[in-house]
Amino acid sequence: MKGLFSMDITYLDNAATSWPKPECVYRAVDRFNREIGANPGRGSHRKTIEAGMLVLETRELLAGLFNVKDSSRIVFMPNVTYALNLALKGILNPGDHVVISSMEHNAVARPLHTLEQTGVEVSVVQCAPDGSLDPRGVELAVRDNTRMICMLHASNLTGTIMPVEEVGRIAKERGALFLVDAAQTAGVLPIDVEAQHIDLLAFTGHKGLLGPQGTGGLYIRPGLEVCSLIEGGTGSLSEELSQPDFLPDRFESGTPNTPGLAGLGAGVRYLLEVGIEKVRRHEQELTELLLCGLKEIKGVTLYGPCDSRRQTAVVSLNVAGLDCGELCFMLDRNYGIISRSGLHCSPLAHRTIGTIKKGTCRLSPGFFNTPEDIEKTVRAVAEIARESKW
Amino acid sequence: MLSVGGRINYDCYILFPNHHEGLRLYRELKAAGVRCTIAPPPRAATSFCGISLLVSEDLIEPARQVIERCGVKVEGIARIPRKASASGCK
Ligand SMILES: Cc1ncc(COP(=O)(O)O)c(C=O)c1O
Repeated sequence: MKGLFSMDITYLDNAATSWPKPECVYRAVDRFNREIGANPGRGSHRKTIEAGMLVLETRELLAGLFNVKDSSRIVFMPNVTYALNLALKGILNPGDHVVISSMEHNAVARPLHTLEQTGVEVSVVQCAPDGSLDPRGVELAVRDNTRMICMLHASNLTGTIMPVEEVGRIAKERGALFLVDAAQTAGVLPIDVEAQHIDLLAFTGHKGLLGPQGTGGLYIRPGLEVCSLIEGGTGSLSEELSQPDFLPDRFESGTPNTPGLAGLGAGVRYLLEVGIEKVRRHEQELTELLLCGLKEIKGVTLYGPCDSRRQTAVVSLNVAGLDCGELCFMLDRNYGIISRSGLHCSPLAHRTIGTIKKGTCRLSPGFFNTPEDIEKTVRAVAEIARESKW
Repeated sequence: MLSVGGRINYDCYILFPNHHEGLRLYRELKAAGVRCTIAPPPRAATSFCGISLLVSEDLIEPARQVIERCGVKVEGIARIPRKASASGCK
């Protein structure tokens, strides 16, 4: 693909947002904008029905993907950050205790920092330097007043896959709610809210689910009370001033991102047709190739498990003698390889793996990358490492 | 009011808490071959959300069975005398 500077672009920043999207996603967004364009859930004319049907289909596709029985328990939001804020701020009260891992993204760490000032107590379970979590650490951190265990499914820094099912079991046994941040795994790894004992599942639509930016949502287990943070028009119970107490309306005030949700539905349908096992297998092969190639380069430090079976398609590295930003810049300018440097909105995780001072350069292949992209990247890093001053 | 042989005909409006449930039932009724039309809820029946499903009285039993089977949340069924202008489900 040709980019801004007429260079072949190799996009390896799928952990930030996946690109390109399947053709059907572009078409679904365009079709909605051109041919439907109406506000879903408002009034009863034919166009609102068509728009509403698209939203319903997307909700049901996601329910199928996550093994959610009642699709109305999935509420749409602009992204996983909003979903996590709702799950944390809509449930936790002063005096409640919450357990998180030391690999969490700021989408969890910052709202909890705010909640801590109101009297919510937070325990951080230390992960190993490769980002892995021993569930026994979680077990030890749980107290009588633990209301929730909140954890990402896989790290956006190292790709490390977390023991979600085991932690889910601990949460269930100890009577705590289990909130999972599936930003890096929805559409890539199997997620089953029943089997993994997940009470709240926060997901974003624009990464592994292959949808457009501005989409995401939260699954809320039936029976769970969550306070709404945003209130307003829902198209339902309009004569009442109080916010509806039923889902999804309770958490979906205002006009949704319908073009985005149409695209998200197309992305999920595409994934289901291809099969997420196939997506995972391909990404795992690319990760293996990348890890094997990078391991051989003198001066390269790799972070995380360095084992494609234990991580998603996310590889963090540094090259001796180079700032991670320089590495990222050189990959972009000289080779057209798109990566992301810095702290990746995850200072807790960087502290865990020992890179809080220098950051890392992150390479994250996606389903549309090829082995040739990876070979090109390994050659580029080898050249840069050879020429750096280390 | 439209009456045939002195008998008043009624339309049934199935009312929902929200569009989500209404659209789910619409799809299920279509699949089950129960004729229905999406319509604004009659004001007399109070509006729960922007849509209701208009089903003629003789089809309300099959519709109830579909509601039961699919677990769709329904707020009620309003039975309203048919006006000449709103002639049921065509
Ligand atoms: C683990 C994790 N949580 C949260 C987020 C935030 O995602 P979004 O920007 O879609 O809200 C990301 C992505 O950057 C992530 O990787």
